[in-house]
Amino acid sequence: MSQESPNTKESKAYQPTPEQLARWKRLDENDGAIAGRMPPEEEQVRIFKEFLETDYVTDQLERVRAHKEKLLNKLKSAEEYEQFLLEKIEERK
Amino acid sequence: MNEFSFVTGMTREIREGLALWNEKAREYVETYYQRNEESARGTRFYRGVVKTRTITNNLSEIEEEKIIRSVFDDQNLLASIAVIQDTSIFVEEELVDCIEIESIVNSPWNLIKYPVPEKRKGAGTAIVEGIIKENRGKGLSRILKLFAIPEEKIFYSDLGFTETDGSGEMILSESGAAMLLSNLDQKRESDTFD
Repeated sequence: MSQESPNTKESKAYQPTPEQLARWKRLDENDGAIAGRMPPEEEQVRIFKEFLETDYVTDQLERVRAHKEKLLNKLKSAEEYEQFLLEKIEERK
Repeated sequence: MNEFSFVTGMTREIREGLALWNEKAREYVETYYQRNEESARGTRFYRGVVKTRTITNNLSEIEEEKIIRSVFDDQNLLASIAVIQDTSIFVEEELVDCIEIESIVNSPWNLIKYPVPEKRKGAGTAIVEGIIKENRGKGLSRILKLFAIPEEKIFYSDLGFTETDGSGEMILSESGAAMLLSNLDQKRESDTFD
C-alpha cells in the first residue's frame, strides 16, 4: 500500500503581510552583513594592500609563532613563580 | 530560504574557511577589480576584506579573550563569522547583562555584488539568529549590542535593532529578539522565499 506524500506547498500556510514581504526582500538584498567599527580610511587602504601583497598562510604562521612565543614566556614565568613558592614551602619545614 | 548551521567556538573547519575566504577574495579582486585596490574601494566587499583581515590578524588573541561564533551553509562553506563578548549596559539607569557583537563579517562571496556560484543569501541573519537562540537555550535572554556603519544600518534595523545615540551603536532588545525569531519562523512557513 503506497502512502501519499505530503504536499509541502500546501503545508506552508503562512501568508506574510506586505510589510513583512518588503522587509524580507530588503534583508535578502542587504545581507552582505558587516558589523563593528571599521579602521580609519588610510588604515583600510593599508590593510587591503597588505591582503593583496602577502601570502595568507605564511603571514598567519608568523603571527601564530609570535603568539606561541608570548604564551611560552608566560608559561615560563608561571613555572618560575611556582618553583619559588615551592621553595618557600620547603624552607618552612 | 537558505538554512545555515550554527557553530560555537574555533574549529579546524573555521580556520580552513578563513583561508578559503582569503583565496576567493583574491580571485575576485583579480576577476572583478583588475587586482586594483582603488577599483574595489568603497564597496561592501572591500570593507569585508578589511574586517576579515582585522579578525585574522588578531585571531590568537581573539580566541583567548573573546567568543567566536559562525555559520556554515549547505555547501559546508563558512558563510559568516562573529566575534562576541559578554558585557553590561545601562538601560533606564539599570545595569543589565548584554552580548556585544564586536564584529560580524560574511564570506567574500556573500559580500560581493556579482552573482558568484558560492553565494547564499541569509548568512548575516542566520548568525544573529544563532546567537539569540544559543542564549535562549541557556535560559538567558540578553540584549544584543553592536556598532553599525551607516551603510549597514538598514540591515540591522530590519532585523529589529534600534539606534541608541546616533553614534552607530544599535541594540536588539529582548522583545525585539523574540519578534525576530517569530518573524523568521513565519518566513520559513511561507513559500515566498523558497
